[in-house]
Amino acid sequence: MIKRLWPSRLGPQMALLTVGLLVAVQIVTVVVFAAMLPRSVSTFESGWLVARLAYLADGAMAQPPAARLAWLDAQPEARWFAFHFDEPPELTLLPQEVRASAWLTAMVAAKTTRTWARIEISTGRPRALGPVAPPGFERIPPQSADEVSMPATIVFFVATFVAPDGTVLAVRPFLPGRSQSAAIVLAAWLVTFLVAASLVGWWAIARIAAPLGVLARATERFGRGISDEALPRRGAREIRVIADSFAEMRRRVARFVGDRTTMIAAISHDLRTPLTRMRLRVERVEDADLRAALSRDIDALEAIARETLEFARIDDAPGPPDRVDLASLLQTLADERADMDQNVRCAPQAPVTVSARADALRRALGNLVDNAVAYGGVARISVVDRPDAVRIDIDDDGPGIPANRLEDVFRPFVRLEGSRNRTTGGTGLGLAIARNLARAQGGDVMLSNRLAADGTCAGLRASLTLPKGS
Amino acid sequence: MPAAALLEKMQTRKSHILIVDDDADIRRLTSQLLGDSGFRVTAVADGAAMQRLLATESFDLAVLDVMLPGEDGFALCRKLRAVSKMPIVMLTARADETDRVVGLELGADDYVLKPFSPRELVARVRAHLRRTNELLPAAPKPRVKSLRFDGWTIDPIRRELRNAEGTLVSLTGTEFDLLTALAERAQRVLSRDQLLDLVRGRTAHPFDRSIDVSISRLRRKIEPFPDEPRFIRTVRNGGYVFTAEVVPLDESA
Repeated sequence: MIKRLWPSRLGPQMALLTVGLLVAVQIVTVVVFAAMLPRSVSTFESGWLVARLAYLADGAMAQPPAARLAWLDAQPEARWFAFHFDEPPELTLLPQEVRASAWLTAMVAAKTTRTWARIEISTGRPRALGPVAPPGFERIPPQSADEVSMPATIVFFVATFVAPDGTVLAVRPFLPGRSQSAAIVLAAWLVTFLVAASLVGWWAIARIAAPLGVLARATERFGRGISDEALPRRGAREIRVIADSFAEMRRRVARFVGDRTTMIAAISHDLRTPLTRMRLRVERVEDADLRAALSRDIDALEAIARETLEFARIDDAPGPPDRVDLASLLQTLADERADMDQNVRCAPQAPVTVSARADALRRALGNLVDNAVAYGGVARISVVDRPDAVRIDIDDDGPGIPANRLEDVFRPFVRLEGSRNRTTGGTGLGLAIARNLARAQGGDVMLSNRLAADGTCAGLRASLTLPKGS
Repeated sequence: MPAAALLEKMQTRKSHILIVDDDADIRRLTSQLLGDSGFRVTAVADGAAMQRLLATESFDLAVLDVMLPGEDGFALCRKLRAVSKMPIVMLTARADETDRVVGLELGADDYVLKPFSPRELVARVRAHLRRTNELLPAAPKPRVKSLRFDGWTIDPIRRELRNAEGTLVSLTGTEFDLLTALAERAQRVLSRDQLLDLVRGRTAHPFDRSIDVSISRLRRKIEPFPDEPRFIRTVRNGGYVFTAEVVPLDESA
């Protein structure tokens, strides 16, 4: 699952890694931050709170009973507190809240200058998400409804002062806590930051990875013999160095291949002039047998010159594929050879149109057919039409090829010993040319031995597959 | 010389053939070959010599090598075509299809690949001369780029046949020549001998089957119903006639 989701390309991998790291760092930060914040009032807040509570309780009690609330409301700090002259409801406290309550009670008791029958401070949270203000605290100081109602999820806190005369003053501070809205703001900030960082990171990584992508494409295309891809001239220095080295290598290989092709082409081209002279001279030879023998030799030399040139030039000017009617092409191949008294048979075909270079396809199939006739005495052509590809099988009745040599015969100038020797003619390039031509069009040529019912070899099958263009 | 003999000599005037090739041996050997075959031959090594010769001599056919020092065979072909309708046969050592197409588009009539078979060269030269003589009374035809009939397109230069969908339909050399010969003379009945002549002149395949076999193969490839042919009809005791309407598209089209 993870393997399937993990992107294969460098850019997305780096981007995913960066975003993952950012998320991890943020999670750790939030966790640490949350752990460091005490669940109850912080030390700083408690010092201020203790002093205010003591001051407010003392001051209110100093007033006549009717003026107490007015006095309390008149205090500047009153906006942070709600007051009630009655016993508040009890809170359920966690063990650590019991300790905090006891500690705060002692602090307030030490700070107050009056004598109280009882001081009790309960700090904790309302269980679950119960009502924020317990009954009796509805009266909210009027100064700023917003500010007062803002800390809705503050640490719940009630201080109860009981005077010796039984007067009860309950003070409920609205302490700023970690509110839900603050959490939402924090989350929004984190998400915004994450998205912004991801976008910037993505852009930066794409810039770093793009030259590598171009380089990868160029390498892949060069591997298939196409060296037209422009190479990246930007990006990290290492990438530029690789690109420059690759460009240099590509130039050298191209030069080498070019030199080789030019040399082979020049040799086989220059052979044509002396061959032409020989052809003309041989006509003047009186002895008919000698003339025929010389003609055969010239034919052989000509075939070598022609096929070598063809092999060297396969990569030249591939040209766009054409719509080619396969049935008529195969029929033509068969008829041309049948006219020369060769045993080539082509079963009538349903019309199949392929996308290919007609001349290349004709030469590739022609080579396979000629091979079948030369080594197997007969060529039987049939077509297997599949939705995605067409396979053309050319069967002969020859001795076949040992299974371990089926690939060797595709190598240029390789011939097998024994039955396949020079007396059958040919240059050892036919199959190499056929395969290269097929591969240049996305297809391939394969050889296999056809087995008879008794397990012996009934002949060779050459199969040319061609993908169906759109 | 008696008048009758002079007359006969004039009537059987030897065709004069121009050869331009920079290889002295090939020049000499080709001259011998064509000379032995009954032609009068003048051979030169380059374009400049050809120009000088054209000022004083007239020729019936030219054989030009493509690879020449100075102006190449294509340039000479263009020059020659500008002043003459004589058949031009190009000789080349380059097997490229593009070379052949360029040569034919420049106005060459034929294209022979080196090393050529001497007999084939002689046969082609003869065929071109014969065709020129046949055509003499008529006005010279404009060079045709392609022939259209019933959605099909024949490209005589690239030797390609395409059906209505633009798909390349393959023909053997003989089939193609046969189709071109018939289509160029649509609505005219052509005897088997005439067809054989027209076809053999161009390809000189020694193993061509009879015209009838090639016609029936051609029908299987282009006729919607080969048993009831629409395009190539058989004329009893006459030969064949191409009955579809053929529209030639010349170079300007």
